[in-house]
Amino acid sequence: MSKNISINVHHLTRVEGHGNIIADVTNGTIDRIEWQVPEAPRFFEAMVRGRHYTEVARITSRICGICSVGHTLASVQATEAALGIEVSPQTQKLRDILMHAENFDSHILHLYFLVAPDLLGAPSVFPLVPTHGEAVIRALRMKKVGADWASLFAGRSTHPTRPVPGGFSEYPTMEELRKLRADLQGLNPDLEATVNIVLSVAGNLPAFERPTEYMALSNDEDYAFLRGFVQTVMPDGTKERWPVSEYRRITNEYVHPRSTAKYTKNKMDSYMAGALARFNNNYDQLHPKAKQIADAFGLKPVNCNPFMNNVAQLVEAAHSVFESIRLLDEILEEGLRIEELVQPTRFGQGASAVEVPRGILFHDYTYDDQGMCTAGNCIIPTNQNHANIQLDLEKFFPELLQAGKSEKELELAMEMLVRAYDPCISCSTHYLKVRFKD
Amino acid sequence: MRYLLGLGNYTMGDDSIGLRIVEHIIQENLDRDFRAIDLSANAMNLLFYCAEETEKIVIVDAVDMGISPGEFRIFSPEDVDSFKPSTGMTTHESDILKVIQLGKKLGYTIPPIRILGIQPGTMASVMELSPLLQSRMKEYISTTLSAVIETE
Repeated sequence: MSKNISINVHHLTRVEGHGNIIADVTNGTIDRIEWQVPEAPRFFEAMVRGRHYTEVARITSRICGICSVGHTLASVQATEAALGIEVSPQTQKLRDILMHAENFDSHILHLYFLVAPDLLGAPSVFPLVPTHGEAVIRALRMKKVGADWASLFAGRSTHPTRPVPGGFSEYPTMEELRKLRADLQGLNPDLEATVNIVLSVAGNLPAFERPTEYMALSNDEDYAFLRGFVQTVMPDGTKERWPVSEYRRITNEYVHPRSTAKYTKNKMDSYMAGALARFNNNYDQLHPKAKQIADAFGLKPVNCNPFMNNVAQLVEAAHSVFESIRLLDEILEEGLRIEELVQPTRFGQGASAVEVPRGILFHDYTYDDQGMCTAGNCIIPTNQNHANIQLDLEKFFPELLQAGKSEKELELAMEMLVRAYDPCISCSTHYLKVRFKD
Repeated sequence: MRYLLGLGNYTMGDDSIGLRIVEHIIQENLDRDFRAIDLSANAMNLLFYCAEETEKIVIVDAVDMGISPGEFRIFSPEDVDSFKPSTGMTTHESDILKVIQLGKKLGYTIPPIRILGIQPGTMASVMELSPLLQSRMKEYISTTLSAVIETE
């Protein structure tokens, strides 16, 4: 074992946003092991104040370019809770299919472009093109289906325009729904190939475990994404539920010096949100074909290995496809009605919880009697995972040291741990920086 | 089909210039002979529009070219070298030049691509453009439309 180690991963690669991993060891003693989040706060809660309820979702959808559908739906549902709006079963069904589209698209992006390079021993997707070009093309083909799938219900693939408080402003046609059903059915071979490629490298996922509390939305009807209670499952399988309106006392946000993002905790010192948390809480409601995929990996609840979040994402990607086919069949049989938007019955405060790809997301707004927003609060899933990542590192790093890993191996293993959470720290600037050729 | 693609982050000041130009063109129904699309941070989705039937793609984006804020240049990907420090292929990084390079390596048909790059002024967590870029919006929009219509 090295006696002196200094690891400083500044701006960890292949995560969305900026985070640092710091590890210092002197004479075999760990001085410091930290997951640092240095990004600036973005003040969305202030941006929505003074805006009319019809505008708020359009603003908050801009919180994230990857989870813009989830932010839109969380925002719309919180506004509906504040305004006493109850939407129709058809609206709920269409929103379910839209949420599945984003879940599928995001998980495929994470697995193929951000995780696969680690498992295949490459620094990024580029070196994989000569050896795994077919897989990269498959990933892009699947992502294209995901983008078209979302566009049909959102109006466009990012930053939706169609889902609004009270329902939908525009609807897809029956013909478009039939085509989508065929496209989703056509994903079967690509899903199968994805399962096989992940299975072939799953042995490279570290066998690390730490007893963890897992938080997710949950109900008795479906594998919850949009409706239900907040539920946690403890390592021993004990479950407890709370109404969404009590989200503040379940998340218990607090500030820690190592992070500009707030930490959260519930019954334990931290909890995990995301695909593995949903899997551990709601396994029984998974589509049978998704359960078969979980079985192939030996994934059973309650699983306390954060690296298995990657596998849970694969299981969920399949669930989103099969569940959407089932929902589409129901709509195609019932017919699609163009419904009037449901109007507010009161103005006040309301909160919602939505499962976005990276975990449970809370939005909360208060409106005055003119429908203008006077207060907003958003708690995003990546922030809820920061404390858990830190505690995982505190257990994982000494185990790696004990196993005699080299500094390079230590660095990669810790990077893989953070990436497994699929953190989306913030969407920063995206501008190009170029130099003109002579 | 011709495509106009806007890239950027709506909440980071002038980084949103490409999105706002595309948004304006859609709102004013100026996209009658082409499709205008807000790609936001999803630069990789550019490859969805790289097909044999695609006649041309124009990308409008904030680009640091080392010129005065508000000034703009129209160029092809081949005209420049990217020197943005990259931390890997993520949607956060969103380097469209790297996406084009990936598309070429994967055998995608890359149509003629022109980039309208606008030098940003303010890159901060604000929902508005800087006054300088805001004052030149009309000029950017007419230049964008000309770039889309222009025959290669």
